Amino acid sequence: MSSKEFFNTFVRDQKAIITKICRSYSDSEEDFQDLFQEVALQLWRGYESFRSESKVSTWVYRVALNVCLTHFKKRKRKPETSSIDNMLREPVQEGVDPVHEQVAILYEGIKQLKEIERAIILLYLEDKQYNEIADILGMTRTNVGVRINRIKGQLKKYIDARVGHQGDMEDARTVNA
Amino acid sequence: MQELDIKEIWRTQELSTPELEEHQLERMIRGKSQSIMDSLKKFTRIEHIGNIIVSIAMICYFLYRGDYGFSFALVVFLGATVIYYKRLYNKLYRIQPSADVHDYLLVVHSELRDFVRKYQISFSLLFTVAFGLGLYLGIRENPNADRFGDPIFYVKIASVYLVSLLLCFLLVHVIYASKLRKIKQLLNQLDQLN
Repeated sequence: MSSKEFFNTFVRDQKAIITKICRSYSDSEEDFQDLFQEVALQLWRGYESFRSESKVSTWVYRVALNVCLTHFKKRKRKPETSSIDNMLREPVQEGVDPVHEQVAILYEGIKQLKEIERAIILLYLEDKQYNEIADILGMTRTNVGVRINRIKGQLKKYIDARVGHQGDMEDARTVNA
Repeated sequence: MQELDIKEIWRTQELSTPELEEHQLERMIRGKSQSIMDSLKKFTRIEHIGNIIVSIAMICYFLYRGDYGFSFALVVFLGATVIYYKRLYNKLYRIQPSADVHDYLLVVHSELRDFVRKYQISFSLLFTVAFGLGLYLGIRENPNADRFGDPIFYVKIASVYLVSLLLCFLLVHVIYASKLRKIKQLLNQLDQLN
């Protein structure tokens, strides 16, 4: 397969998945670009040997997650724990579209999770079945279900706290005005 | 209060996916990989080439000096390393990031740990052989030299040997220890979840 065919038939379809995963594991634009390039490179190299034993999307998620998890260059070290209560809560920028703001907060919350928890929740958000999540990560189906509920709880708590914090700030600004 | 639906938020995102042109992708897939497995392959290749060059140079040197025993031993060593590297390449090239995350992390951790151990063992052996051989050849060339009777000379040799060995160990540690630790942490996270 030529790189042109690879681009036209494959990358265009899978670009959104690759972008979301790389974005969740990068701390800067530079990091994101490095990850995106590395994932594209590994997919290109592995495409010829891909034997359709699994779904294309499963294969893409595996490659993208494996690349992101074992990528070291230019990465900043993240905190060990994902304790929601101890997290630094930077106020969200003013005047940003509320939809974008919520997505930004969601990404922020995802990035506070441990790397493997991040992978689980990303697959859940992408509407993957528990079986497929277990297959991609090498976990048991039962544990996937249990973990998803806990991680969802953590994320919701984070988002509520962030939105509440921002609401408090807006109230304070209104009172001051 | 309405329950927060994170899937709904996720769906609303308008992905600012990078607009990729064909030439950009071409550059990406022809670019250098930064993956840990690719750097292991690269270092293995460099190491193998270095090994061949040094071994051939030493074989020529010993042949020139008429030390046929050493030359033969080095030819055997070179043959053994060629077989070793061929097997190592096969093993490294079989590792693909398309495995499930747990299996991939396990195999990357194992290869990385073996790589570090191999360096530590190789450094220890090579330095010992190099210093021992240097001393042996020196004494054989010039058995009556004063320095060979001086204990300080042996202390100096031992110090250089130990410091060189420590520096090499430290270098390997600085390059690989944090990577090994990180992958181990990921594996622990997965094991805890299972």
